[in-house]
Amino acid sequence: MKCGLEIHQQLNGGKLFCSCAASNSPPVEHIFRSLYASVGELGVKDRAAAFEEAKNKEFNYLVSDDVCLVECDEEPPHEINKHALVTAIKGALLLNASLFDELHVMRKIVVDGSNTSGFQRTLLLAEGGYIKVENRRIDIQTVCLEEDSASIGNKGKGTYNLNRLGVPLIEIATAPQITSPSEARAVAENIGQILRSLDVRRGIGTIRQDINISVEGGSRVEIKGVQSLNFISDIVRNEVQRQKTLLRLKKKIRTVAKPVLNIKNVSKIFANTQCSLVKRAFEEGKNVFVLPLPGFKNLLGVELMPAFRFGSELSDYAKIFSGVKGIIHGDENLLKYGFSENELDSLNAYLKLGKKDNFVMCIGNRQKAFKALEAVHKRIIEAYHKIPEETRMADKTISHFMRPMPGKDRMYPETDIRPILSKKYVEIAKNNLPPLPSEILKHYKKIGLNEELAEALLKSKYRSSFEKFSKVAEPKFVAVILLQTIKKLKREGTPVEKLDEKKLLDFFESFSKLKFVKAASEKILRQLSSTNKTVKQIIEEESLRPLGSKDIKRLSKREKLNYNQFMAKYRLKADPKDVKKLIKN
Amino acid sequence: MKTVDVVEVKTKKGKYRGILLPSSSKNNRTLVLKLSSGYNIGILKKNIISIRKIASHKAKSFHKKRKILSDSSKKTISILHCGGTIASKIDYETGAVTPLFSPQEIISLFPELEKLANIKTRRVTNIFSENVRFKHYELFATEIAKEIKKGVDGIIVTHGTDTLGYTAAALAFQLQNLPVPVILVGAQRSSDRPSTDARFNLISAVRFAANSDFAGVAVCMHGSPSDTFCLVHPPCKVRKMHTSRRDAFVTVNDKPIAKIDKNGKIFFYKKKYLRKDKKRKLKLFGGFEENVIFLKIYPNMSPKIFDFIIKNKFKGVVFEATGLGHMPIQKVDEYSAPNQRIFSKLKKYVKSGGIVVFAPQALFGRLNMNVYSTGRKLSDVGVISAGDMLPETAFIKLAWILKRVNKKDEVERLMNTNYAGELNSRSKLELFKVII
Repeated sequence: MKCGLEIHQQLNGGKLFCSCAASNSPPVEHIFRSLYASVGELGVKDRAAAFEEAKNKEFNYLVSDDVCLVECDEEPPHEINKHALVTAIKGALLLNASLFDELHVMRKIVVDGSNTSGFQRTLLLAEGGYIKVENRRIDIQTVCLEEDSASIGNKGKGTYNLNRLGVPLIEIATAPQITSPSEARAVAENIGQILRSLDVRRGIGTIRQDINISVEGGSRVEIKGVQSLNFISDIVRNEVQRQKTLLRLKKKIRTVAKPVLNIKNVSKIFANTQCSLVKRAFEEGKNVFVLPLPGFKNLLGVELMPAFRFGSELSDYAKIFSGVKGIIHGDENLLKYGFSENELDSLNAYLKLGKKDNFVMCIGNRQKAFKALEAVHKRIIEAYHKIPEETRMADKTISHFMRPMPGKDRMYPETDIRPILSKKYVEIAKNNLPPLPSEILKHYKKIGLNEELAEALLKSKYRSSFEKFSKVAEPKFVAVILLQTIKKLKREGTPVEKLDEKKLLDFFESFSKLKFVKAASEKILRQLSSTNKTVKQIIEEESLRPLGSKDIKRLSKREKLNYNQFMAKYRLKADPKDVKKLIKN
Repeated sequence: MKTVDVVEVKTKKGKYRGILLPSSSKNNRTLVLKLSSGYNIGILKKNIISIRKIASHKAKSFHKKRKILSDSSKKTISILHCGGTIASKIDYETGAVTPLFSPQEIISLFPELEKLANIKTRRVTNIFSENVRFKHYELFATEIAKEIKKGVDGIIVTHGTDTLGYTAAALAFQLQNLPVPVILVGAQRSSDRPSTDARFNLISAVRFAANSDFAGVAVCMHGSPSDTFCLVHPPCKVRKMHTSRRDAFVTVNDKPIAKIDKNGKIFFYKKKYLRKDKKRKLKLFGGFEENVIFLKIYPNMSPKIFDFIIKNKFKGVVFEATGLGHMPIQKVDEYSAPNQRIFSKLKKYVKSGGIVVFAPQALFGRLNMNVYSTGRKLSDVGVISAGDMLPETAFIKLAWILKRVNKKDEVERLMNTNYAGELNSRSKLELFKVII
């Protein structure tokens, strides 16, 4: 197998072509629009775009107070967001890529409704970069800066929320050089770490991965919307399995004659059915249609991915091309739908189907059901020849058919924005370039963090706060608190989310000024997260003021305590190192 | 090396292969390539070591040559292209937006049109509307008259939106007694974009022209930012009120004529309008006086404006007047002395035979030059009030009248005569809506 990744990371600092900020405000208005694929610069209508147009939809755009006319496609784009441009150039430089002299904003046709304009604005910044992952060089083919799309609105299909539209994204595409599922994950992690040293947005949905996979003898497939790094290796593994199984299935299918598209209305057979699905359909004036598939017994039940059969693949095609809710096929347990043995016998008799034969059933109105079964038939005929090149949507660790693979014809220039000479911005980026993760690791170790803490810190969300806190307190202590103590307190149920940067800064400053002992940290942090008290107040109230040498001597003498006994009693107020020096066991 | 060749460019940084495009940047400093990924990039010419031609690129045409059949059960609508980017595509050769104007091209871009009517198309001129001059108005009117003679059931005029309102008024004055509808259509998003409003505007205009009983000039554009309905505006009362929105065109001091929804349903707001009658004889009054000037009155305006007007022998001037029809003509203190000079020069101009027309700068509402002494003084020296006419319409109308009559009394009488719905004697409460 060969696999390449496309990583999209949202950048901070406002939208790419207008002055709006990324937001979550509720919609206050709607706009209804239709989109039509236009002709690409080379005079060829893109096939994925044409596919979406064929669906002929009206889209409902939800407009919030934080959205302006640019997102509504009611005003031309403003000049490019310079901060985002410099951030993305920094990314390209950190990935060792070489910047183009002049950057051209392009329109990438996307008529699925996720962009009000019908295109996504995107600029190619750089090419020819690389990263090192476990001593292997993985090439970075391209680094682009683009607009994020609108997110699907809460009202379901065809509804889009404009809040996300236009948020800048850096898009990094690796060469198809990844050869194993675990390497795919490692590469994604590595790039993710580099991106985190830039001014990027954090949190759910701010980074997304697409995976391009091709298998020897199979086809190139793009899997979009991988939500978590944890799924990457499984998704790759499952896609490889899907393609390998389809290749084996192809050999079997080729021994069977190609089925004829001969759709039959078989509603009569089910006139007195107990199957609630069919009963309800009849009430709505729908019918039962069947596509007979002679010789196909057991071929539709072949498992392509965990809990995903060839029948599921056909079902996805039917759903996407016709809008039906699904199909039923002969390799399923049909009794669970409520059909009787009698009905199934009559169906087989009517269609003259024997033990080796199969069928696909679709319940619905004539037009939709025909469209669905035609899509199923087309997909089966395709299975005789090849695995289709397609874009699939990730669903945890498996994926579903989304649309045919878009061709390269879907680009033309954004005439509303002038080309940008990159030199000036490359200079700014170079002068403000953050260190690489490998350099940061070195730095962490130099200031006293061990390997484990340094690695953990690099991956954590605390990197930038660590920089601040380690200026006021001992770096190792800061790292331990951020990465271990807070985690532990969270497990106990302490509301650690209330420990904001201000509270933590108070904590670390107090540690340096008031010299409370490390062992008191948990107690202080617990109070700090559940109250509005300052660290100083907590120390006073809980009498955590550290004991001086004189006090330690005096108390140990008066109470006749040896080291262990002393520490057991005064562990929150005395530093064991001091005590060790002063009390002999 | 020609543009649209596939070339390989060598620079210090590396080699790039792509289709050579014309440079779009300032000073022609870069060479633009379209890479195989579809992205364009620019390479500074000073960084180029060598360029090598690899192959010639062949542009594919997606417009299928097909015969457009005429269906006698359908109305015949003629689309006259008079500019704008309403029917256009990106030209790969030049990077410019160019009109598509063979019937095949129009139909392939907007295939629904074929179902609505027998479509004939013709290019009159291709011009950005800011470049349109009075002679073009005459040309448009003559071409429309020719089409009407051929017996079409309606005419669609595509036009840039910048000055579409002026052209609508110009056509309404020139084309009197129209037997069929003449509908002007523009687009705020050019038709090379998937989200173009050209499609819905054009489809709605064709539906209105083919299916309603309306005759006369009108403007058909989006009624809201959604693709849900279009409004048909009266030609002399319509104004572009937004630089970029789809629903930029607004009827001022009047109601729109009709609304067409996305299913083609037509609803008339106006009950009184000219009915379609193909037997009615068109009266063409073409042409405009060139020596007319259109100005705005503003605080601190200079008396020298009149020196310019007098020196250049402008026959008439339309001012966008403040308030109910005012101009700074009064000296009240040491600061306002120039106002007096404005007044004396205005009097001199009118006395010499110049025509001065005031129209409302406020756009909404009508002038009344009897309320304040300023208005009365101006009225007394011979300033003509345009009533509730839009300033742009008053300008076009004065130029149209001055082409035909010169005597001040005659000009005033004609300015006060309603020819094409430009004047209303009643202003109704519902006709002014301000947002929020």
